[in-house]
Amino acid sequence: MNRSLESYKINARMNLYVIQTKKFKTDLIGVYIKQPLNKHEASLNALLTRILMRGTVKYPSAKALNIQLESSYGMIMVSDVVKYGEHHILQFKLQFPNGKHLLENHIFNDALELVEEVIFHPLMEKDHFIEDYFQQEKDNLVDEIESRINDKMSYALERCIECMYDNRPYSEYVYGNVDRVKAITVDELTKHYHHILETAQFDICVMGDLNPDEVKASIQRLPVSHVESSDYHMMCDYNHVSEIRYFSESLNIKQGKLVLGYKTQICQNDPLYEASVLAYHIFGGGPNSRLFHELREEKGLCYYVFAKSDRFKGCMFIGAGIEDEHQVIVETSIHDSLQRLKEEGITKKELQMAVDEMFSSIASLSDFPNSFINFYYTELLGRPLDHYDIDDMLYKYQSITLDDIKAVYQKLELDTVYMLKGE
Amino acid sequence: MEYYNQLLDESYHKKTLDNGFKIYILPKRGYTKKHAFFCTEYGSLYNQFEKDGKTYDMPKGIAHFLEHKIFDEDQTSIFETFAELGASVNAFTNYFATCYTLSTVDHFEESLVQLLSFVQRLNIDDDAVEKEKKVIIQELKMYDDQPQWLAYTEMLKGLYHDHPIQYDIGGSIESVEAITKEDLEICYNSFYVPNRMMLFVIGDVDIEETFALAEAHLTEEFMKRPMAPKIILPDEPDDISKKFCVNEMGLPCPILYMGIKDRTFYDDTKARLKKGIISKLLTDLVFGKGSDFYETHYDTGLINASFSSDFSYGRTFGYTGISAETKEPELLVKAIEDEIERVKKEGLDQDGFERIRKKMIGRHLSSFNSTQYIANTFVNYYMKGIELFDYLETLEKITFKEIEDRFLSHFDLKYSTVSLVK
Repeated sequence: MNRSLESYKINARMNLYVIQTKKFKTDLIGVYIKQPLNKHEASLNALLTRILMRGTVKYPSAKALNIQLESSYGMIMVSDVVKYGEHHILQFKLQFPNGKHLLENHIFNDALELVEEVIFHPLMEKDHFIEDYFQQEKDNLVDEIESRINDKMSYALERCIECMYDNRPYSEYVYGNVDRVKAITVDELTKHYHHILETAQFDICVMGDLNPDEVKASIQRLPVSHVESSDYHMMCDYNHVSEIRYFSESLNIKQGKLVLGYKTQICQNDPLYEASVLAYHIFGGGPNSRLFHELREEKGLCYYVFAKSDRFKGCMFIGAGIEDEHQVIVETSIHDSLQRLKEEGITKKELQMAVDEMFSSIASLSDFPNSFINFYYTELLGRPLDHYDIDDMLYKYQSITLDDIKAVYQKLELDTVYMLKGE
Repeated sequence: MEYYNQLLDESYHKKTLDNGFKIYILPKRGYTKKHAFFCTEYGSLYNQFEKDGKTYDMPKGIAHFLEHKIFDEDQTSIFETFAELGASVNAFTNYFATCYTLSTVDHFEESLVQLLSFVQRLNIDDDAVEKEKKVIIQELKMYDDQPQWLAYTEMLKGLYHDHPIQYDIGGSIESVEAITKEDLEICYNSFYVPNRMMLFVIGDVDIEETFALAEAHLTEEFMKRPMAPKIILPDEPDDISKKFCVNEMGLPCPILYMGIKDRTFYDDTKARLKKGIISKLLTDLVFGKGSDFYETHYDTGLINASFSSDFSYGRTFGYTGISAETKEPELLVKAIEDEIERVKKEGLDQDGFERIRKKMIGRHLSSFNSTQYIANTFVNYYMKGIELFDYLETLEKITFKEIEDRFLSHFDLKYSTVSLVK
C-alpha cells in the first residue's frame, strides 16, 4: 500500500494532495470542485463541465484543445460531474506520460497549464460563454439525459432512487432534467461559473513520479482566492420506513430489471460503516455473495445480481435482471435471504473471506491511478483531513465482529421495490 | 527466452514446452497485484472442426457455455476456494479465446495452482447443463436490451455472408437450448489441450520459481492430450451481404453503426499488426476529435461526444466501424461518405499523421500502467498471432505513403454497410 500522501492546505479554499510513486508511466492531475446537489444547480454543474472543454483563451476551439492533447503524447483530459450522496462534484482529470519516459521534463508544467486554461480561462465573448458553444452543449446535454434510457440496468437503478427519494435533492439525476437544461440561459451559466470560482472548495490530487515541493509551488499559482468556501450540510437519511412502496414501469425490453431500495441508517461516519461495506458485499456483491449463490447458482433465476450502496446518503440497492414472471419468487427469495441474515448472521468464514477481499481490493487500488485518487478523495470528503489515516481504516475492518455484521442487517429496512418490465 | 523492449523498459520471459504449451511471465516490480491468465485459443469462431476424419458443427455459443461449466466442481465452489485465499477468479470468452483469470495480492502460488487445477478438468452432469441454460439465456437477454449491442451485431451481419464473426459470442436462445453434455465434452477434449493453450503471468513474481511451479502443476493426463483438431472457417467473399438494415426499439436518439469491410489479410504476423495500426491511425486521423470532420459536424449538432471510430481485426476478418447517436442518421451517413470522397481528392493531412502517431506512442506507454490491461492486451494480441512488443517499433516505422495507400484501398464505399436502431 502506498502511504506517501503529502497534503497541503494551499489556502482557505484549496487543498493539495500529492501521492508520489515511481511505478506508473503516466502522471495524473485531478481537480475536484465541491458543490451541493440540488434541483436548481445539477444541470448547471453538468453543463459547466462540458462548456469548459469547448475552448479556452489559448486554445479557442475543442479541436485546438484536442490537437494540443494529441501532440503532447496523447494526454487524456476528461471532465464530468459525479454524485456522491448529496455532494455534486465537478471533476477535471488530466493524464499525461511522465517526462522521464519521453525526455521532456517540462511536461508536468504543460499539463498543469492546460488544466488551468480549461478551468480558469475559458473563451468568453463580452464576459459571457460563447453563445454557439453554449447552445450546442445544451442540446447535447438534453440528448444525453434522454439517452440514459438506453442502458436499462442503470436506468432501473436511477428510477428506483428517484421513486425512493421523490422530490428530495438526492432524487436528482446526476445531470439534472431536460426542462431545467432547456431553461438555462448563457447569462445564468456564466454567473454560476463565477459563483463557483469565487466560493467553491477546490481539492487537487496529483499522482506520479513528481517532487511535492515543485508541485506545490506550481499549484500555488492557480487563481483560487483566499476566502472561506461556502459550506453546506450533508444529509444522511435517518428516517424510518413507514410502508414499502411498489413501482412498476414498462418498456420495450426482453429482460425485467428488479431493484430493491433499502434504508440503512448507516453513513460514512457511523461506527458500523466499515461493517456495512462488508455486510452488503456478503449479501449481494460478487460471486461469493449469498444472492449470487441462491438466485443464480441454486435457482438459475438470473445472470447478474448486484448490491450498491451510497455511504453519504445511507441507502443500499439490490438489483437483478430476471424474467418478468419471476418477480414475486425473486423478491421473496431476496426477502428470505435477508431475513436469515438478520436472524442468524453470517459465518466466521464468510466474514474472513470478505475482510480478505476488502484488503486485497484496497491494496490493488494503488495499481490504478484514477481509482486511487478517487478513493482518497471520497475517503476525505466530509471528514476532517488531519483525522484520516489509512492504517486506522484497515484496522477498523480487521476488528469487525459477527455481531457488527448482524447489527447492520438488522438495521436494513426495505423502502422501495421498483420493477422495469416488458410491454 | 527473454524479450526486452527499450522504450517501454519492460521485458517478458517465454518458455515453450515440447507439446506446444507456452508460458509467458512479465515481471512488474512494485505492483501489489499479480495476475495469471490461463487461456485456450478456442472462441466463438471455432464451431466447425475436423477430428478423426469426422466433421463437427457445434451449436453456436458452445465455447462460452463451456467456460461457465468449467467452474462446476463436485464439492466446493471454485469462487469460494479462491476467496479463501484472498484471490479472485473470473473468465471470459471472446471470438478467439477462452481465458480463466486470477488476480490476487497474497497467496499467489497457491492460487495459481488452483487455477491450473480446475481448468484442467471438466466435471459436468445433465442437470447442471440444463440449469446453466437458464442462466446463460438471462445473460443473452441482458444484451438484447442494449441497443448499442444490437446496432453493432446487425452491422456485422451486414458486412459478412458466412464468417462466424457475425454471430453473438454467447450464441442464441435456440442454439444454447440445443447444447448437450456430450457436445461440451467433445469441445473440451478437443480444445483444452497443450498445443492450443497458454499461461500468462504478470506482477512482482520470481521468474524461475513461477515457471517451475506452473510446469509442476500441469497434470500428466493434460500433458498427453492429443493435438487440437483442424478448424474449418468458411470462405468469405470480399463483398458485403447487406447495404442497410434498421431495427425499432423506440429510442429517443437513433444509434448508427457504419462498417467498412477489410479485404486484405496477411499470414505474416508483423504485416498483420502493421495493417492494424495503420487502419486505426487512419480512423483517428479522418474522424477523430482533432479532425476537421469532427469539428464541423459537432458544431452543427449532427454528432455529439458519442461519435467514435475504430478498426477491429483478427486473422481472417477486419472492419472499420463508425458509431454515433444522432437525430439525423441519414445526413450523417452522407457526411461520412462525402468526407471519404473529399479526402480521396484532397489528400490526407501529413502533420495530422505525425500528431496521431505521437498520440498512439503516448497511449501505448500509458497502457503499461495497468497490469490488468497489459495482460488483456497481451493475450488478445497473442490470439491474433501478434507480439505486443512489436507494436512501438512497427508504429515508428510507418510512412505517410503507406497511410495514403491503405486509405485509398480500404476506404471503398462499395464495401460499406449501415445498421440503424431507432
